[in-house]
Amino acid sequence: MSMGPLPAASPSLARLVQELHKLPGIGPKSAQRLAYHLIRLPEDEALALADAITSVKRNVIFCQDCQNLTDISPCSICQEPRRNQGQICVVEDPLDVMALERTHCYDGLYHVLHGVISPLNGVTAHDLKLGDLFKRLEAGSVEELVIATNPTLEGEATSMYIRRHLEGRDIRITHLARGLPVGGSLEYSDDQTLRRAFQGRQEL
Amino acid sequence: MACISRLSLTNFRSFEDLELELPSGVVVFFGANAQGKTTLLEGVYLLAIARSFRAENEREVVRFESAAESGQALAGGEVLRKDGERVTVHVGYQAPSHGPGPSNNGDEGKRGSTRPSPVRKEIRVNRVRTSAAGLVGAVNAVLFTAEDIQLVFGPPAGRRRYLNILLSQSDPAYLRALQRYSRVLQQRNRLLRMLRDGRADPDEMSFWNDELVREGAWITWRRHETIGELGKLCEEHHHSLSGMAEEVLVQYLPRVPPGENLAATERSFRESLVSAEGRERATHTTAVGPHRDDLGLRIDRVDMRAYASRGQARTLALALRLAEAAYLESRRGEGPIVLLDDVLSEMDLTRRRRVLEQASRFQQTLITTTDMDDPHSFFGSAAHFFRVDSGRVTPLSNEAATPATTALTNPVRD
Repeated sequence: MSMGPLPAASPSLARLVQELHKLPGIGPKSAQRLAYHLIRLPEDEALALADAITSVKRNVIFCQDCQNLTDISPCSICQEPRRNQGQICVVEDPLDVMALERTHCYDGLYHVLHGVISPLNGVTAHDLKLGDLFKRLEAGSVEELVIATNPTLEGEATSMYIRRHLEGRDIRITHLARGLPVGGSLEYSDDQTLRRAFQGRQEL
Repeated sequence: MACISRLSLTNFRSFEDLELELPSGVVVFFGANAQGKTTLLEGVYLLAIARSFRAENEREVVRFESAAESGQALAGGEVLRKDGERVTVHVGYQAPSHGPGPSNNGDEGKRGSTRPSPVRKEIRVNRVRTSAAGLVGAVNAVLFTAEDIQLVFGPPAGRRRYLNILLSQSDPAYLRALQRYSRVLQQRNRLLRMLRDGRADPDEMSFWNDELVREGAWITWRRHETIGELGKLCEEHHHSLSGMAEEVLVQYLPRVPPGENLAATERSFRESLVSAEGRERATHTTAVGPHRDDLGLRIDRVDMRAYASRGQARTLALALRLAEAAYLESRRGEGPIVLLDDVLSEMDLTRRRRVLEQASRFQQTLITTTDMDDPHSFFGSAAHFFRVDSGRVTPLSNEAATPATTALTNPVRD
């Protein structure tokens, strides 16, 4: 049996290290380094960080329509009148919305699921924002649902669940193409990607 | 035929930094126990099947005391193929520096968990990063160990592993299907438990059922297709090892009966799955599929898994390994590298000669032994000898190793 931790010289410092250690990707050593860095910061800079965290927790909410993270609901994307109201693109998380927005090639609406179906991680269809999606589709103004979950087993499970749920409904359901990365080379692609790319080949 | 022309091991078990040029033909590593002989074969086999054959947890292979700075263990090699092409292969293990690994999503498992985080594996072929399925097949190898007797006596898992390695090396698509199947299986088993607890809807099951049937039927079908040819090869090798014309039967014992083609096997799988519903509700684990398969091993109708003598089991296990090498050769049009890890001392003279004879048919055979008299009297100066001593590997010139020029029976003693 090891002895318990020695009483810390500064309990408040120990508490900060402990909180930082809870963050993903931060080990005990990194947590200590970050804590000492914060101590050396000018007070206003350190408080700006604390304030940013407080404000994010107080102000960020889910958009009532697309479930993306936002300060106002409906969010700015859902409120934009020039966007195509007949298309909804379904993504796993808010970072995917940002990635797609950077492309400037899609002007429809989004729906953020906040995860994928994965029993191993305890996530079922009910833990995702799927009910909200199906409610949005009830309204009937949506013509196309673009499923943009990741091409993983769990992403496919989620995509298939949505497709099954909407069977017989008059909605066009598509998903993003799988295949070669732009600028990549055939020689260095793995067989499966190449096979998918071949199956999904297009007329020139 | 392929051969490995260079092996490098960095922070890999007892080897801090090894660079070894390997000739083709028969290569014998000799030395006392615990000097690193098996580790050399482990490194070569790792480059073939992307997994360590002896580590329960692959963390074990990282030599932590010296890996602390770079944080990684690395096995690398250069493979010379039949067509003259040179392929470089690398498998690296990144030890988690501190705290949780990078795969950690969220704080789950971070607090209170004492389980060591798994090492991250990085695989490269010709310097390009790839998956295990991208590596396997780049170089084929067949490993003979003293534990092979467990192929006969041990639980079915060992025989499934034998089939899986054989099929993965002959077809990377098999490994990919196997990886996907095992992920589906884990997800499905967890979902069965969640359904029991009322934490999920039954309609979530259909995707996992479809995937289980698709991958499972394909694996079942591939095993079914393979076993005929494999069984024939096994019988041939068994005859020549034992010198007796016994009837050797290697039978596929599938949990789901294959149909006459893949589509029929899928239908059969789906039927089995439906009829297992009741059992699955009781046990909350997937009851049917290739994860429950076995191989039947019979000699003159007697079930060797239960009734073999040790001698019979050893001969049969050898025949299975020789059949594995012959099967890979016929499938890939290129013989595998043969690895014999301390297996010669267990055999009688006839079998030893027979195995060495078979092994030397291949482009390259790596042998470890504590007693080098046998390989020496068999191969004489046709083999290359390396002495392995506390993590150092030194080539021995053929003259020095030839008893004719030295009076010593074991030329390593000086």
